[in-house]
Amino acid sequence: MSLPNVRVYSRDSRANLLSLRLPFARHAEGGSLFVVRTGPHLTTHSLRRSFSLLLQSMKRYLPFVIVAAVALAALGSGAMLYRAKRPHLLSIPENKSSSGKSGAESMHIRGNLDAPVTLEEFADFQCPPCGSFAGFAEELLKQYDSHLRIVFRNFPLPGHEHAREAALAAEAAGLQGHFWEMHDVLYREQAVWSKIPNARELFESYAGTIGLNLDQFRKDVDGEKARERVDSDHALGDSLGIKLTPTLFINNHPVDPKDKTPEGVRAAIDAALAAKSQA
Amino acid sequence: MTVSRFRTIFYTVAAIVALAGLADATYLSVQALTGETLSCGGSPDCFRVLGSSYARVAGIPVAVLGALAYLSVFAFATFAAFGYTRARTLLIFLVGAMFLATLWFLYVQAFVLHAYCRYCLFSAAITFLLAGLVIAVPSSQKQ
Repeated sequence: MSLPNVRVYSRDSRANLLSLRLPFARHAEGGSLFVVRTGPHLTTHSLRRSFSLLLQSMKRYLPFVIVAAVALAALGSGAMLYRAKRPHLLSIPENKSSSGKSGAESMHIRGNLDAPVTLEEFADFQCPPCGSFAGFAEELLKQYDSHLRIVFRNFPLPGHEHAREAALAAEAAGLQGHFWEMHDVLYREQAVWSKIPNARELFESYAGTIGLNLDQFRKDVDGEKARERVDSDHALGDSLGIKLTPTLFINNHPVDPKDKTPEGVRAAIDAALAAKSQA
Repeated sequence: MTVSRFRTIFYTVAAIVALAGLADATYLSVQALTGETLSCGGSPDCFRVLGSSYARVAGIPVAVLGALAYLSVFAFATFAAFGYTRARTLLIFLVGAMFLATLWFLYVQAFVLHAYCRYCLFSAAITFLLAGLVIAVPSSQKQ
């Protein structure tokens, strides 16, 4: 079978090329294929003109569309990230709180034991923000005097190499009645022991400085009691949904992480005091 | 290639670079709003910088202002690429202001806080790149 002879009738060759693709415009006649222009509205020229007009009107709105799409995408991804990162903290249940009997035994409390406001802190000795908060906590105790007590809970983060060992050292010191002295030394010297490979030696030297029985301290650091205390605090923190340190609770209610600024904490304590005085 | 074509390419590149800055600032804004910058467990290296008083202006996290600035740079660069001349002028002023702010924040990190946050350094690099692009764009007189 031979290919049909194609004759093209048109004013411009580009239009014909396009017309050849339009099946309704083809007519076979005696073995030849005639391509017929069916009207001015179907020419490439007119199509291109319409397309170019459409492009021009689109071009006018395109930057607005692009900017709006990017703004929405940024806002949407930010909102999704915020939802994913925002900690969902629970309140401390009554039986685990510092007023509960079972919890109070292993708790480290500073300030007036009968204070109307309790600030409970889950902290990591190797965490710089916890170190900063420790200094601020002392200011708070002076400011609020008998109206505030501070409870310390261990929450060593797995990303901090010596955090658990430091928590055990503090608990071992606590078994000799010197928890807060070790707490203060650990935070004061945080920048030193955090960077060295063998922090244990430094912890022992701190124990000597604050007058602990060193043999007993060494035994207690490796002992069951210190480990149980650290683990029970950590388990409580896990059950409350804690992921970051320091995490604060005022009268068993979590403080919003973004309110961990001095102004935010003071405002939360003032609100708790006002609520207590109204009750 | 014509000067106009060159300009379009420059502004398109500036818009893409601004997107990287927007992503960085959005991430830092989320960190500031969730309180992660005041904690360990997120990015502890940045705590000293992002948890400092310099990281907020009138209570608003600087990262949020940065995200708005990068979004504006993206918008102006996009409009400039489409031939809006006023957008070019606004882009120059905005990038200039961001450049000065970046110099201030680098000074604070280096000489006041003695700590560097890698996200802030990335943002500084983006701003310097944007400033370079804005300076390098061929002027309209050359066309």
